[in-house]
Amino acid sequence: MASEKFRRQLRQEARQWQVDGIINPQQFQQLQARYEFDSLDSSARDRFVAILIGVGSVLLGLGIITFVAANWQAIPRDFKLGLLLTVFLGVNLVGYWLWQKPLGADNRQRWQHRLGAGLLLLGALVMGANLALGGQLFHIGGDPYELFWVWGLGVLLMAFGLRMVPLAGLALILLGLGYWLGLAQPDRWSGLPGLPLLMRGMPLFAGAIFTWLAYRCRSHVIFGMGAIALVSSFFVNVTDLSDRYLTENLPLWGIAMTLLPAALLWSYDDALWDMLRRQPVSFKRWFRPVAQGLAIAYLISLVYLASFHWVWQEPMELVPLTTQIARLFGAQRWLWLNPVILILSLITLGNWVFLARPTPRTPRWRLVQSDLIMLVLLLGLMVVPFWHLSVTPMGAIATLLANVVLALFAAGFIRQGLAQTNRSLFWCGLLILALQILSRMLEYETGLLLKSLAFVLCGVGVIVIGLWFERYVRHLNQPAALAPKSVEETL
Amino acid sequence: MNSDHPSEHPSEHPSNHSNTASPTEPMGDRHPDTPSPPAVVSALVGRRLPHSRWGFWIPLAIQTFLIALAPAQALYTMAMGKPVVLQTMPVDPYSLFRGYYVTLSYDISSVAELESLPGSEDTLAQIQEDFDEQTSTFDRAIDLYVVLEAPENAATHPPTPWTPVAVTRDRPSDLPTNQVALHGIYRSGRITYDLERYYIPEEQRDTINEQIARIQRETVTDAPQPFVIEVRVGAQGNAVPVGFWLEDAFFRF
Repeated sequence: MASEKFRRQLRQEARQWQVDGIINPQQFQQLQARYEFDSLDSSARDRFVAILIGVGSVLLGLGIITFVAANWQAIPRDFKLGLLLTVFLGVNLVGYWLWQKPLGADNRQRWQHRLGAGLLLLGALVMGANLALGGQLFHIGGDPYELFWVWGLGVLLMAFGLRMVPLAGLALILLGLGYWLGLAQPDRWSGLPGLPLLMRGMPLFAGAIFTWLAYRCRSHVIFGMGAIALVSSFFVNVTDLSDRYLTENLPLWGIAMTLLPAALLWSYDDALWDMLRRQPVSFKRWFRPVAQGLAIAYLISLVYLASFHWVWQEPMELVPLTTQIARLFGAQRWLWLNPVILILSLITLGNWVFLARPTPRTPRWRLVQSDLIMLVLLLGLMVVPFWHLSVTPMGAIATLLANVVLALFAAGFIRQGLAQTNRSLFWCGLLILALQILSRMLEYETGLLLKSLAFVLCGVGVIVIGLWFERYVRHLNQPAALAPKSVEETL
Repeated sequence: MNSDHPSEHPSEHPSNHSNTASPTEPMGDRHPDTPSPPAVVSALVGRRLPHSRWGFWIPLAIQTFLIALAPAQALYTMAMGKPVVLQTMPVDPYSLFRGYYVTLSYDISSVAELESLPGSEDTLAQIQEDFDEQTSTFDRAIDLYVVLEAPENAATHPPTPWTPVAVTRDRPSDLPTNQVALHGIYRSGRITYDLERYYIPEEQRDTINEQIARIQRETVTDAPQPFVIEVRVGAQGNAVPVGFWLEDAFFRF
């Protein structure tokens, strides 16, 4: 249906046309029927009433809130509790009722849908306020992290039920707050039973529940947030394990743990779920690009860090491979026998095997080119530090290698950005390159004049190449023809 | 990355393959009635994916349960629990009621106080040892129970506080009627009982502050001060505060 403004104008015009004799009364009738001129006045009246009711309700609500706030101390405790629950249930019920109302063909009810979504989000916030005030009313001690956990789990359930992205995002933020506030807690845990277990198993919880939630909500953002939650909590677990069990040097374990997130993220394949659910494997990859993007971002940060020469200072003692293996299977076996580490490692391994499986397109066991390149890169990133820490120090070569890999990343991004006329890819590549040049210059050269020259050159380079790229993008006629199908061919 | 957006337009994706795929896809595709609002609006408000009605009612019920759980437990303990009086520790009157809430401690909050009880020294030493052995970020604090005994003469104003008689790791059963087990949490030399934090209305704060300061000035060192807290202790050892006595005046929370 056309907009109301247009219909109103059309009605005015059509009346004039009829008067002027451009259209006959029959045609006017047809226009009237087609554009529902009759409903124009009633809908305006309805809207006016709705606005009146809306404004009135807001004022009424403000009045009630002010009244309650003014008398809060004087209200009996049970009544306060009832009031809080009423507000919570009221906001949620009204929100859901508005939100789930079927939308008319003309989208006129869309504002109700939006208002409903807003109220549902407000309901989720009110839940937190209720939890906090409920505890306060009865002077129940409790730490903020417990509040955030309970609140986050409640909102998480609602996000699952309604498949709403904002609720899911809120739930993830709340659970993240609960997790990190809990870790920042100077004392030990207490209170809610099961919470320490949940904290300990956070990487698995994030991997399973947040990924599932991302599919429920069909949201890349939720998937990305879940992946970040997984990786960051994984490192908390790794740090905890090394505090407890890493009594002797074990470079193998450290390197493996550093690379595991990248290997896991890169090998994430949506098709695995189809396989596990015994359904025909589809070609659509919902979240694989997101996971791979995160893997690449993670690796670039890692390689950037490794491109500084102080990272590769001579190790204190070289630990031969046999000694490391003996330690790994001896006293320090709990480093990898930990359930979280073990399960994530097995999942990663399974993912890679799954990637290499024979398919109708590739009847033999093999990896596609991009996966193969990533595998080689991961192995390289594994072997070089290992060699450096276990066989013979190779500081200069390793630094050089890291810089070459970083430059290759930048070149790959720029090339891909050009091929796909993808602005963000191109700019990422350019920024990595500039960052690398500046870092190396600041690291090795202390002359102020040279520094200024490098800054100027980098700045001019970025501007000139960037402007050239923008012109290139504008003048390219058929970008799609050049573009490879997916990010898998990056690198 | 050049990610496609399943969240935005699942059916308009330029992929030439079928796009019926989603691992958790029993709900089918988008609701046919749902319009395609601009991306920004849909990101802010959220789209409406098909969902069951229970997807709202069950989470709402659980959320309500979560909200009501702690107050309900407190109300139950208040109704069914045993009234117990606890002796507070001397506090710095100038920082006491300054903030949004008050933090108090009791004579049973310090390990030194409890170690003097018969048989408790070993238990507390064992607890300390276990505590020190835990090195993980994720370890729990250690639970313990303090057995309190009612005073001979309870009908004084302010009431005489209960005295600790024993410390145990497990919740003691079959206590005589004049005793009660209070659940505490041990953390590096301090014990907390979830009774430390109180929210006092602003207008009462100053008067209470002055009274406490006066009492502490007048009380002889080492003598128990006439500032006690009345709590109710439930069967599980959990406690909720009821009010406090400042000399012979009672303030209900």
